Amino acid sequence: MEIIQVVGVGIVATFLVLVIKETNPLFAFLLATFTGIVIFVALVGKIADVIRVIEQLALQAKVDNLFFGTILKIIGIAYIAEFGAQVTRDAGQGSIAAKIELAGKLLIMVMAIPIITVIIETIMQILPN
Amino acid sequence: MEWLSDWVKQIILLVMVATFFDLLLPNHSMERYVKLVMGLLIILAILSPLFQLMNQDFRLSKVMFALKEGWTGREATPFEQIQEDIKKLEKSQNHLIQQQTEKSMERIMTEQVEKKFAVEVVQAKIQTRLNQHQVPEITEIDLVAKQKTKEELKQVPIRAVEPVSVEINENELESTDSITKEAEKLKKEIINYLGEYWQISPSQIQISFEQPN
Repeated sequence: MEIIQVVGVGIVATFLVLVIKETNPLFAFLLATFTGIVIFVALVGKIADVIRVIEQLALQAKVDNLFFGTILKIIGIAYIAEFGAQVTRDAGQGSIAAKIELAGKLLIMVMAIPIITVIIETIMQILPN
Repeated sequence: MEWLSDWVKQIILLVMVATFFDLLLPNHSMERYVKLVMGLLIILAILSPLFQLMNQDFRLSKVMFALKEGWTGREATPFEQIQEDIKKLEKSQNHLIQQQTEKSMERIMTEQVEKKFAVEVVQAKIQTRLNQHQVPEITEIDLVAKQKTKEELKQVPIRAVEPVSVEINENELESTDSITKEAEKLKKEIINYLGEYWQISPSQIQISFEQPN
């Protein structure tokens, strides 16, 4: 019944933010950010479960540790960048949010470089000289 | 067939992992990146048997053994045994060829000697061995001949039968010495002739005479 807890916290926080917003916009923003962090942390444990299952699957599929680690890092970067971008967008800084997303995408590309090079090398190996 | 099930299992698991990753992603803009990497991984998994073939040096015997392990029901002859059989067959074939060559050479030699000299070949034996080019080479000639008696020689041109006189017989019996001398001479001639014809050294030729009866 975690979803009820999460939704409850979210709705309560929303009401509070609406109440505070008129008088103290800064606190409203802080409250919203804090609520977001709480919900995120509460769900990180669940993500760990999912990742453990996927890890087992990958182990059975004999996926290289390099690939698996890289993909997990890509997902982590995506989550963090998404979270930061949403927070900044909530604060009305759409341009900064866009920059955070850009950074996330760039970092993901950099993470993917080793995998892509390995795959390109193997493909080059098969092709006759 | 184990490698096949392994291969399919790997591909299925990879697809499932990719789907989970897709579900895990927070927003759609990131989906493309993960999809690219997972797609490449799946392609690699699909091609992995090909990579294995490329990496191993491609030995037929190995493939044969792998197939044999795979087919439990059927019996396939291993490559090594086939090679052994080939060797055996080659050996026996060479032996047969050698024997055949010896026989025909013996026949030719008998004809030659009988035509050229006044002897009757009782037994001709040629021994050969294969040289390094697998061609038979004569190592020894063994010839047993019988000198034709004067009567036999005279049979060729048909003449009126002369009365056989005891005197001649006595002469022949007495002159065993001259007969052996003649035989020696004949022997030498035959050896020379054979040595020249077959291109072997006279020491390899042995000729013995049977006493004419």
